[in-house]
Amino acid sequence: MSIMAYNGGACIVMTGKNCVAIASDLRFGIQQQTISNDYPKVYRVNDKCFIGISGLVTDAQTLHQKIVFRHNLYKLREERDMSPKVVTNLIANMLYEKRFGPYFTEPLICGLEGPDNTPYISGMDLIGAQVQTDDFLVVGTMTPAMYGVCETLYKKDMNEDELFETISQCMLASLERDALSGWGAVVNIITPTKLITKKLIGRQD
Amino acid sequence: METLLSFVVQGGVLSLADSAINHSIVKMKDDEDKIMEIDGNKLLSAAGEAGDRVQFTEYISKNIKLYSLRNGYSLSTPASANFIRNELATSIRSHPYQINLILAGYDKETGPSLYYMDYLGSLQKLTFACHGYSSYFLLGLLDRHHNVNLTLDEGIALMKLCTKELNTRFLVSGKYILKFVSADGIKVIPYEA
Amino acid sequence: MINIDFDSLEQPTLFDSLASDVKYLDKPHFDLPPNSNPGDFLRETFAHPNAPKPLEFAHGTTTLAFVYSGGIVVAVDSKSTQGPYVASRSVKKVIEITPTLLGTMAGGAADCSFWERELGRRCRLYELRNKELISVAAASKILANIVYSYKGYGLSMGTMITGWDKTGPQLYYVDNDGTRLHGQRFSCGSGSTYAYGVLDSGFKWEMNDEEAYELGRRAVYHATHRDSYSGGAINVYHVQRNGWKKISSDDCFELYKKYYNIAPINKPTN
Repeated sequence: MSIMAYNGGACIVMTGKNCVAIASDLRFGIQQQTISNDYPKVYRVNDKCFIGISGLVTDAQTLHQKIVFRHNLYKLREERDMSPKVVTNLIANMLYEKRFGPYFTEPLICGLEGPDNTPYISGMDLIGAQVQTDDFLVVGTMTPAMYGVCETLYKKDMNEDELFETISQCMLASLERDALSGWGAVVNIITPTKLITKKLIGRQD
Repeated sequence: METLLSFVVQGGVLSLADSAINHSIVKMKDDEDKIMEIDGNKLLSAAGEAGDRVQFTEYISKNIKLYSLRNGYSLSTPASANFIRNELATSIRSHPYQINLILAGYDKETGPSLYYMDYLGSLQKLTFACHGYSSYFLLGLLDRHHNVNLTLDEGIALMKLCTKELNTRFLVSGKYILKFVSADGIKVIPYEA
Repeated sequence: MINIDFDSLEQPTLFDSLASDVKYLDKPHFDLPPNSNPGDFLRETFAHPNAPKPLEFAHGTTTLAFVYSGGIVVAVDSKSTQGPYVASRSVKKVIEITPTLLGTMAGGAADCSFWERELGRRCRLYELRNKELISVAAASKILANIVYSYKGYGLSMGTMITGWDKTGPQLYYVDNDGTRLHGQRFSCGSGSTYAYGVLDSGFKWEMNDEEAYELGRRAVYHATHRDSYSGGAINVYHVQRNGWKKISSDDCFELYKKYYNIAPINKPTN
């Protein structure tokens, strides 16, 4: 079994009109055994940037702690928050630093960029090869199913309610086909003025 | 083939571990204490590779002690859990400690708490946790019967139910050690499976 | 025993081919690799790095059956997976062998469904020949003998055969090693250990029917929660004096909402 699928997990980011959304499942397991059904893989970096980390849980936790540390240093020096683009470059560099002994994680970054709050999403592989798109990105143990539903349900320029509905349906529908992810989900919507976090009840099998 | 089991009850955490040391087909010892007591308010249960368990838990407990001597106050349970996680996560890429852990503790401010850690350094706060093959028998049973409002006596009765299940269904059976951590510190509870 | 077909070595007459067809009707027949040791041959062939992966359905499963004062309860999940992919959530893992016999399915779905269907055919023939129902002991022995004759060929099945015969409610466990056990309580599949935990701790001999169904359902439910490869719906059957009866089919998600009083609204967490 692949080391990326050892703990299971799934994560989606999506853009809307003046908003972005990030969702993850809640399972933490060890191969086929479910240990916890309350393990969100989405972390807040600041009010304009969230990250989701799928893959090996120990590395995801290490990476998250390192990102928080670097972000705190940045804030002390610059007296401002990191923008999502900077966070992306930071994480990509941190991952490439471990080129010959990688963190087995695939991060997704989403947020609002710059003074006019342009929606921004990006992702990368486990050694920091970046990918930027303007619609959606998925990572996890069942990406074929996730791409399928996202490709079908995604529309351009959704408002925050439509975006919430779409990302939730995408998450829940693709989790139905994944044995290693699920057990509920959490969705975060970032808008220029507010943050919305909602937990979705999901199948427990 | 080792068993670690802990769960939260009213006002504290119960931790159970088997007490056998086996080498190939030989039972070397049947009264080994695998639940280390730290700071008088934390229980660190460990199971895994022979030498690693003692080396790692001693290293951890001495460092947590050192912290309290240097700072005049001791590490909270979540802080200890994160310290231990960090040690596991950094050592996994150079000299892996092959041990799975459960940290149970009681803090004045936050009450009882329980942390699950595997040898890779994945950390998760839970209300009950189990390591080893026994988890295959006990997690279902605990999902059914456990809740955090059990009294201590009900908790001990649930422990009995768990070890009874292990004795009926699990290939290996033996003796166990049971400890309880609460506001009054750590108590060893005499236990007959 | 296995029929190895040597007929093709000689030019067959029409009579020969008809006769061989009739012969196959009597017993199932499988083409085997032209090799003195087909089991080893198959294993080596599929072990080759370039070999296609054999498809295995229903590898993760939770099935259980237990005897109590009111008969036998059989409870199973309904998920089928290929690796992490959920192929189906609506598999029938209780096989209705005859109107009085039930079998369960764990391991290879094709193996279980084919051989338990074949068992049903043989049980019906027994009934016609002997003018009485076959005992559960005999039926399970037929299955055990069949799988034993294919030992080493890679059959994969773990099954419980249950029924109520002249001797009362009977429960047998049969697997592809040829193991055949008579007992009061069995569980099989990747989630079986979780189910055992709930089943053993909640079992009493004296239960009313509803309690027994709920025990079986609960045991499988908790197994589906912990075992990723079990899930879907939980089907419960009851083996009674005059044959089996299907009791219920409940989706795990509905059971979850019922057991934990989950209201169907999503509240913001903060």
